Amino acid sequence: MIGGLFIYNHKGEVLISRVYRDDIGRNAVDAFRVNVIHARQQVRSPVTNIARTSFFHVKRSNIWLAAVTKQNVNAAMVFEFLYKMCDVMAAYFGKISEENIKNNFVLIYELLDEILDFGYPQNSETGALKTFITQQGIKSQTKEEQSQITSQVTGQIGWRREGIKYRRNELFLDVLESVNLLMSPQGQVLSAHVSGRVVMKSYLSGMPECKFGMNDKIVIEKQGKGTADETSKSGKQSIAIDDCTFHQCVRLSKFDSERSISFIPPDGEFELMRYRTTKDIILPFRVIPLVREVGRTKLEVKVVIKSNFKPSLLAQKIEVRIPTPLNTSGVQVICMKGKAKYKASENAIVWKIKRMAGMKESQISAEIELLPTNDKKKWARPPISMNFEVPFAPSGLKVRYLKVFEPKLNYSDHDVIKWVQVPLPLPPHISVSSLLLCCLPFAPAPESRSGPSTLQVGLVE
Amino acid sequence: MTVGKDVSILFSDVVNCMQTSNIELKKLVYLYVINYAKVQPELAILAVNTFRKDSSDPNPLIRALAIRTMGCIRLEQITEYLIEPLRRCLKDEDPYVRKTAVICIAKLYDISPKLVEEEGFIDTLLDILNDNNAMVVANAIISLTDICENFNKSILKDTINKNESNVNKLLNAINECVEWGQVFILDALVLYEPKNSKDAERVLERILPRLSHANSAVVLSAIKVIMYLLDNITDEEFIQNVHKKLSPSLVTLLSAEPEIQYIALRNINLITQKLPNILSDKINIFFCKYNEPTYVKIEKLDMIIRLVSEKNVDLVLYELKEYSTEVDVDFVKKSIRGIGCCAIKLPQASEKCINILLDLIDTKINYIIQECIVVIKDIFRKYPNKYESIITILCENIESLDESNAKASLIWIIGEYVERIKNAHE
Repeated sequence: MIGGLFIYNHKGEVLISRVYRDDIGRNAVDAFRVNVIHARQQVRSPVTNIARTSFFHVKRSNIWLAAVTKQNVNAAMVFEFLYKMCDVMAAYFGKISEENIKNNFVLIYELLDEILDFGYPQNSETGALKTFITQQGIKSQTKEEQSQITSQVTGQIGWRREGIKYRRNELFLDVLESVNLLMSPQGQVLSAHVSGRVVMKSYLSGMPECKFGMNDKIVIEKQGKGTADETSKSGKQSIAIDDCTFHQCVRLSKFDSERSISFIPPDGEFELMRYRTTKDIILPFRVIPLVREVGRTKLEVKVVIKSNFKPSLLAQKIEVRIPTPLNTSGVQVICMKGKAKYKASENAIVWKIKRMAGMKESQISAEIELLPTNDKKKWARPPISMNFEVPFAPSGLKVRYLKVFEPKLNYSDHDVIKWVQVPLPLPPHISVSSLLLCCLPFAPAPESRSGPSTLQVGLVE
Repeated sequence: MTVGKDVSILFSDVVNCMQTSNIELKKLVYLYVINYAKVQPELAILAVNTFRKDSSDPNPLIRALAIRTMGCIRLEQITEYLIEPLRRCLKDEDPYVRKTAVICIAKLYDISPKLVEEEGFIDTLLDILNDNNAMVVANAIISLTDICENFNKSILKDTINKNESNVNKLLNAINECVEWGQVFILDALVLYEPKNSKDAERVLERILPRLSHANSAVVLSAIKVIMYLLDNITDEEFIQNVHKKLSPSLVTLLSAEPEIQYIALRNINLITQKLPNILSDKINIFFCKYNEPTYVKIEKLDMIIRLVSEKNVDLVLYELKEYSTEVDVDFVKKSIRGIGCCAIKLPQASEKCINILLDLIDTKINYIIQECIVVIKDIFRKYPNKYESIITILCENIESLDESNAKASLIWIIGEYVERIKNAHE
């Protein structure tokens, strides 16, 4: 299994080093530095093989984490473990940076000792680890507490400890979706799919059992609430989920047999499930860019955005970014709605619209002056990107119910305050691969790829 | 110590600190001892007494820490002292101590296999498979796998195949342990040899739910076991159902982090070689996004070329043409070679491919022209005498060639068609 784990800073200096097997020596540390960190060309692969030793690495901001082994290991597991390691470290001390690592090296060595025994990953759930690996000193514990800790770390419910208490029992649910879209130059949709994540923040006492229900087509058909004809007549009542993956707290065998999602949630924030749908997707916006080259020193750009949802709904905080070539000397923009500015430091025109109702259209036109250049190097043609917030789910997902049941502590479902919140971390995104690159004679294709859109899912009672 | 400086002279002083009751200090001292025990073996013996005492400490965390650390000290002399505390901890009432002790057996085996076998620890390991705590069982599987792989033994394989109940025990443990334990048990299940189709089907059905796990390592391991079991199943309908469940899981893997995508793509490459129809109509998931790292794009390109067929060749050629105008030189070259592969694979498309290649040559970009010429030579080899009209265009670009591959290709073309070209000797 994993023979050694090393953490380096951007200069290649070793910050943390832990070796689990005899076959990994000090020269492995140097080999990685020389061949990967200080390699002259761009890194080609996350897995490198040097002298019959495999190096798997992951980079977070400017910190390199490398796992080294001479054996034939399960590569996916090594990477998943490295990601988990980063999550655990972030949960303890925030951002992963050289300073934080240096300040917490004792903690990191403790963690490495605990979660990677002999090179094999053990329980790495932050909730469990925090009970006995703490940043403050460990106060002496009673025998009861100790056995509680150990039974949690090895127990069936390794992600939640007993005896959690909150005055107010609250539950937050966020659905984040990302629409990925591929369009032909004629505007025909070639392929589209929505990838979504359901993120839950649970502040509940005890060991509550939760059940989550959404308008999954298979479930609805099973319950006989509607045959396929009925659902298509009454509009989009259910969505057909292509595939979904769940956090380890969800009982997978129950999902496989009854399609029901039941779980005991970890305390705090966690991602409950990820899903993908490809049918019946609502595309909230259409972006139509037009570019004209005028000689070698000017570009005329026009971008039209059309909102594609009910006129009564409102999209907010719309921001369109149109990238400009690197040799731009000046830009003049005209837009009817909102404000647009050329930001030279970001090489983009940023157009902001506060809100826009459905079935409306807006456009921006810009004249970009270019410095004459002999540079044969082409501009990389970054896509046009767009951020916005809309009050519906492009996939059509609706949360039908979220029930909480705690048998011992006796608070019922009605006592739990449930919120569906507008989330913050992922601003939504539509990207249109740029038409603006006009150095080439053939017509470039508009490829429209959209990103996450934050949504408000209906309040659950 | 981390930076590489040798602090082993402080060994005796550090060992004296070991008798502390402060857990953090203890852990640091243990870490030090692990690192330098090889350098100062005589002094390491001093530490052993404290370990033995700690392994009977009332606090289970300390017991486990002592056992874990003792196992990491890789010295022959220490191992004899380790036997007794280890045996005690294997029967400990606390599962945390048990699970740590189980891994310790593997560590011990690494240092002195004979000792482990003499003391009967292998049989103890096999007994532990009956433990009621899933994590202990998972760790027992880890130990057995480690021993078997590194020393070429078949204990694990024999145990799993001995009778039904062992397999059932493993399948039960999968449901209950953490994600890493699930990966190890799944990997061990590959050693299972089902006696008939029904057995294989039964096991497979119990593994199918794992495809919905968030951890991609669990999903990939489950796919591995499923593919292996499918070989033993004869029921056609069952096989088709399983295929239908496999393909969405594979596609979901491609929305994960780039490193996982890379691994998934390499595996999908192999899977499609065995089951060509599993992703045949989903070629559009392999189209490259703008901001992906190069290593992912190159693997996706491999998959696109593998899945191209008459139905989607237009779409594919369009995409490949787009990719050929990107910035990364290696990627561009590979895209152009991809266009060539399409032409060779699908005769009807070869005309379109040639046109695209001519367009690309028009761009007058050096490396593009050279790669196109190499590719065109291959097309000529497959379809001789078909596209001679373009030879003049190729010859116009003869000045810009500096790579040996390209020059060799052009020379070959001129040589083959020497009758059609005027001034060929120039």
